[in-house]
Amino acid sequence: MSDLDMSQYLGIFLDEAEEQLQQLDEAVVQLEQTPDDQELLNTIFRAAHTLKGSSASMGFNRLATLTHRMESVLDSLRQGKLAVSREIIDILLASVDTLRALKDSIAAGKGEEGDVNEVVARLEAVLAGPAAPVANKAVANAELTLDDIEQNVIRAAEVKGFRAYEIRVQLEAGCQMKSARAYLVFNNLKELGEVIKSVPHTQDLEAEKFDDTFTLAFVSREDADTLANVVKSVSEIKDVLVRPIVLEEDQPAAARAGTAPGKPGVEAAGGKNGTTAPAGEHHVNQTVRVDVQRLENLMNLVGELVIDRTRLTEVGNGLKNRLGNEELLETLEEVSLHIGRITSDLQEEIMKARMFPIDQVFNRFPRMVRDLARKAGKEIDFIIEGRETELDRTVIEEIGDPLIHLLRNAIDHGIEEPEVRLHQGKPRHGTVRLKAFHQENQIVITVEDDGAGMDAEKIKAKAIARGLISPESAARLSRREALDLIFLPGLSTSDKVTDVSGRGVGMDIVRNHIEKINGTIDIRTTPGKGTCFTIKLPLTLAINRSLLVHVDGRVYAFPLANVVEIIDVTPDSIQHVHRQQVVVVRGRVLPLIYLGQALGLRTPIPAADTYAVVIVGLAEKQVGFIVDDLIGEQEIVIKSLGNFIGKIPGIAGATIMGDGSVALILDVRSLMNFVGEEADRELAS
Amino acid sequence: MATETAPEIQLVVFQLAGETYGVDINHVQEIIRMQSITAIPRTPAFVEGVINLRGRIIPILDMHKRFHLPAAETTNNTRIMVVELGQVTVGMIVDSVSEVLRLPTTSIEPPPPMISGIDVAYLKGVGKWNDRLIILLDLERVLRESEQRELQREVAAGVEIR
Repeated sequence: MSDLDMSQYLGIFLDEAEEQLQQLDEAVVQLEQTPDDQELLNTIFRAAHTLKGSSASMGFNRLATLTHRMESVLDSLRQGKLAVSREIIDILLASVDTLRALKDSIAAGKGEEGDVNEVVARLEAVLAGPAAPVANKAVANAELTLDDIEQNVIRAAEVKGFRAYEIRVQLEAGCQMKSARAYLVFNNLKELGEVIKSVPHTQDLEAEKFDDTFTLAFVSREDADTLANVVKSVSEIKDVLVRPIVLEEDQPAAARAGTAPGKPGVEAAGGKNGTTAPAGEHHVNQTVRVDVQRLENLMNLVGELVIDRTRLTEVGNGLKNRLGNEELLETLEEVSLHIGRITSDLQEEIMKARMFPIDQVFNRFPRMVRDLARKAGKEIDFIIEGRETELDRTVIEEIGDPLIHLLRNAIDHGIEEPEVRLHQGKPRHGTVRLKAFHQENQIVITVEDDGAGMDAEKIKAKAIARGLISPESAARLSRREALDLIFLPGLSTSDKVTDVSGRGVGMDIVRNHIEKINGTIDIRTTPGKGTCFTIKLPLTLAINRSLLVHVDGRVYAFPLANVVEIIDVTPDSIQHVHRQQVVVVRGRVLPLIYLGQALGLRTPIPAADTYAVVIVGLAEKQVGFIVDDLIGEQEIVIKSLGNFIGKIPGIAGATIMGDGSVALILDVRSLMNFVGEEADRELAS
Repeated sequence: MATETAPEIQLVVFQLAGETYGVDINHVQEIIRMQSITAIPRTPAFVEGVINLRGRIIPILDMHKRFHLPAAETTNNTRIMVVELGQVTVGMIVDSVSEVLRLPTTSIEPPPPMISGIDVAYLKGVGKWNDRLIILLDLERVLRESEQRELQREVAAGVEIR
């Protein structure tokens, strides 16, 4: 796990740890009253176990050690090897107190400060008690300690990009063939790395001289989950714990081995006592888990506030026009300005509260890319940049699927087979680069490969062959327009169909997904050199900057993300091509339509010396909409038209204006489809 | 619904094209004055548009058009009756809202085959109150059928646009 991940998860870990501790506290106390309650024991055991797992994965060794010992004692209680006594309850409660002290110290940013040895010793004393010393010793024996030689082996492996793990395997209690299971575990792991040490020793394992737990030191390039899954694939395994081995001297470096393989030891070494917490120096803020719905509600309320802020300003202006400069009015102006600032800050803060790093989506891709590449017989370097880029959770939810599609396409159709690449003078390894960054008020995500690229002519030919366009219209398409054809349903860019992609579904869905969240997608491609898809997304879906226009006495809002530019057009510069109105803008032919007509209103274009034309772009397509009047830019809150009205072509929703009236938000995509079809239909006739 | 068991039902009584109608008060959220309505393109004629009701967008239906009654002018008495049914909230334009009254369920009779041009399917029954006839609207039918029509329109529009 990387540094970033750690700090991101630390708050969650602390929250959960507090929950587990609370539960332990209550349940242990209760256990004293009802010592025979097996269910209660199970609850306590689970809480300790959960805490152990999360502490270990966060690298908090003291927490993990202590909870591990507690678990051993609890297990003995569960199995009846020990009986609940006041003494044991005392020790368990003391353990919980120590755990809490450690947790608080972590929360304070001081790392795991506090001594666990005393409680651990007391717990061990309980275990070593006369009740069942033999059995418990076997469990204790499964503890992994590494001598100098073994540690050196691990360090050497880390330099080569391997990671060291402690794998603790617990067989099911009634397991009949323990040595056979252990053998299978060894055998499965052998394909993924090397076993450095086994506790108990392999000979003892073979001779079935172990309780039901054994621990391995293992080096591998795989991640912990993969290893755990491999072990779990063997039957009769009760539990597997895989955690990174952190050698004491270079703890911080080893913790970073995940992101910077081959560079351990670059970071300054932490204290020898192993108390260095991943959080380092900075103080950890307390976190509160909040229902997402609450954040949505807050966002809606702020939306209302944004509207009222605008109204307040309008009222102020109106009064000023009527009354001139009054002292009171100046105060009103001040107040309304201040409210405006506060509202903006509030809006921003709530937006931030809803933001997540995009890594939440990205983190599952490396594994996917690896699997897909292996399946397709490709060799691929997968590079992710900008994992920390934050965006609204509503956007995050929507962006995963399109990205999966694009990555699949890049691997399956983009990157060539290694031999083909070598033949073309390219490196064997293809590169797929996934990158996210902020640009002004947008998030930009690019998916880039250095593969075969796409040939516009081939795409045209395919579209004609599939009957998606006529040869005549194909001939008229520019290169970019031809590339856009891949977004048509039913067009695949690959000659072959694989089970990964290539069935002709995909790109249209990708674009639909992205446009649904007011995003745009662009292609740049060079045959033989590679392809780059650029996705631009709004930071949030709830509030939108819009261009307001007048048509037929009504106010309509164009999402600003879709507005390319605004131009004036004189009636005599409008030409007709196949009955479609067009105007030439900087050498480019732009289809024109009166917005009222596109909306299905019956009103004709009012006569004017010049028309205001809003040029709207979606992907590479552009259309000019003639409007009666431009009003200006404004932040608007998108509201749905509700169940009763449902979806109206051309209308994305409604918003409430400063004066309380309702304006409709235009759905640029369906409006443009309409224009395109209209033009095509007219072209065809 | 409470109306099934209660001996009487509480109605909001309104006028439409000279007839007196009633709807169960439980469905009536509020009654507001006529206000400026934002028309929505590509909707059936009876959908007048939408209004802003304290931050909510509410569709407004012209009940004259909905029931194919002769058109009426907007007067000082014209009201928008905001009704809520399940997930749907709509405003209905009616000529006037006169009162709220309690009607014993026993005085409700099934609707006669034809009343003032409104399809009987939209009616729950007819209540007699002080020699007056109050036509009880079946809101569920009125709204649900509108919705269905919406759906059909949507599909049709989809085909047309695509």
